[in-house]
Amino acid sequence: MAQTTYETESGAKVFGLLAEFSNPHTLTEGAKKIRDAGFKKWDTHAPFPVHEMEESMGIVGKAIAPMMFVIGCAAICGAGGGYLMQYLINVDYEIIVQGKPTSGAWEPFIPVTFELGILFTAFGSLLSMFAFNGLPRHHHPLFTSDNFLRCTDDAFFISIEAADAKFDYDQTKQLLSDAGAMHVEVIEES
Amino acid sequence: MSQASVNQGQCLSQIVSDSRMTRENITLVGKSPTKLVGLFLAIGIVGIVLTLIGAKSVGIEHAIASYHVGVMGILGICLGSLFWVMLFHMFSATWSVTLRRQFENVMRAMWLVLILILPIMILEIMHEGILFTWMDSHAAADPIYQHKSGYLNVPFFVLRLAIYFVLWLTLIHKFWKWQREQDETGNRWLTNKARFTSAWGLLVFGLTTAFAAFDWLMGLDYHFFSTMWGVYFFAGAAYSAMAVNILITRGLLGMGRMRGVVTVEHRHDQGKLLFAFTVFWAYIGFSQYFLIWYANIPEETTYFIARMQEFPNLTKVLVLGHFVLPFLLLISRPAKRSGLLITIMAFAAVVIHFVDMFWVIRPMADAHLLHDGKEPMGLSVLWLDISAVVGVLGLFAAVVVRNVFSGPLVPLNDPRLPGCLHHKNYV
Repeated sequence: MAQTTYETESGAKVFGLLAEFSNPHTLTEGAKKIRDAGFKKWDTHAPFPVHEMEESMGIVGKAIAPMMFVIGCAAICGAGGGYLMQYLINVDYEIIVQGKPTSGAWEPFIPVTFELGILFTAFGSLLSMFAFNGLPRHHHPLFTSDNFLRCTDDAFFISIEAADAKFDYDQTKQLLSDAGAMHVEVIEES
Repeated sequence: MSQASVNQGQCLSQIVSDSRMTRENITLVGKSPTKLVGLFLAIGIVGIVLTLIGAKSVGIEHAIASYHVGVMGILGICLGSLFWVMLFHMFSATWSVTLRRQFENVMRAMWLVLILILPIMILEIMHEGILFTWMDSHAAADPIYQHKSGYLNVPFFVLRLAIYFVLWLTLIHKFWKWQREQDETGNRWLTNKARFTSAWGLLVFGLTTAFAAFDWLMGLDYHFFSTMWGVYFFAGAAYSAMAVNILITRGLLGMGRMRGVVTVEHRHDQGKLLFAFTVFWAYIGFSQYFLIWYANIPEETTYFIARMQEFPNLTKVLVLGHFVLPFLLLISRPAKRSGLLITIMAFAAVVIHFVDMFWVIRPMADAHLLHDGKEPMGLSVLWLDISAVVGVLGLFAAVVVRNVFSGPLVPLNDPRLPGCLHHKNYV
């Protein structure tokens, strides 16, 4: 089924709806209603971390598991690659330092293995964090709302994208109002 | 009414109104420790008697080395518990409030360590060194000993022992006194006092633990030296203390206490720290090995030769059991939150802590036998090694169980208790 697209009076495509809530408590309660309605492409916005928001949004652990997998792979690549690099270098051309044996000695390879493991874990964490968050991203349609800028200061929002399969302009707007929103505004695609 | 006392009143009413803070849930009312204490005491006495028999029939070197393993093991657990208590006070930790009382109950057993360590020191000094060969008059001619004689001499050795225990017992007494007082009066100021004392207490702890480890473990071979030694001992101590705490809290949960007071969230954090310290131990252990391997100085390498060549399988067990297996098993989040797995890992951690102490101490008995032209024992009379450790552990467990039964299971009026009851891990 093709996704319905909505347009505003000026003819611009609708990106989604932005609903403002009065405080963190109403925000969490509102989020639970949106979660139970089965939406997928939506988010909550607050000036500070709100405890138990993951549960209210129904996304506990969902983002962490794939990220952990990527980080784990990066760590194994770093440590394994680090060890293998040193081992292969020393197979055909032994570099003898201070008369230490190279064949069969694993000890001198450990610091580099460990450090590369750590380095790749750090890279893996940072890059997968960027990737899973869809960063870098220089602009977002929500920024067209002047009201939304207050979300770094004293306002609480829920945004639902029109791209969501459950999105219906009138019903979703009503749902947000019923969920306790003070007012709902339409965000245009930009 | 001042602001502080208003807050205190709110805080207390919050605790009282919490449905989990009932007398049946946070005290062991209606349960008697007699059977459990009696059982552990019996195990302890049987173990000690067997060790005494072993001292006559097998040899005093072997018996005292095995006993040394047990005493150093429980010293590590007590010191580790003291460390955790001070660390929690120092950082005003909220999550650990309901667990702290069990650390306190373990650290309060320090007097037993003092009583058990005295026979070792008296025997060593009377025999002019059974394991501490530097006490032997032959050592006086050794240039390496002459160089270290300013530190390694009997009067200073005894003085240091006294200083360590005075400082440890003073710190333990202070923290425990304030805890009990806060239980009764709800005086919030005592938490600040404990925090201030932890600041200098941790410094004192770091120095005394390191030097005690130098004296009683590294000093077994007076040729050997390693500046990392204190940290190595500390890593094992903090690891085993966390494991013992997990076992006690699991035991109390099994008795139907602390329901909802110690939850899966607390267990998750205990698991994280257990995991952290298995990695830390491996990091320190390998760093020590690596530097000695690289420098290749005879005084230092003898340490690893005596252990890796005489006890090759035990060395593998130690590396696998103290690092590789716990690392792989505890790395995932579900594993740390699983009650059964964390209990098994904690039990294994206590066992491996004693294997670690065995690996450090027992080879020295063999080395001294070799040096005197006698046959080394290896693992041929394992019953004696086990009996001494089980004996010491039995007595220790009896004292800890008595301590656990002696009062409430959580700090009743801690200002951070409400926060701890709602503790949650978001990642």
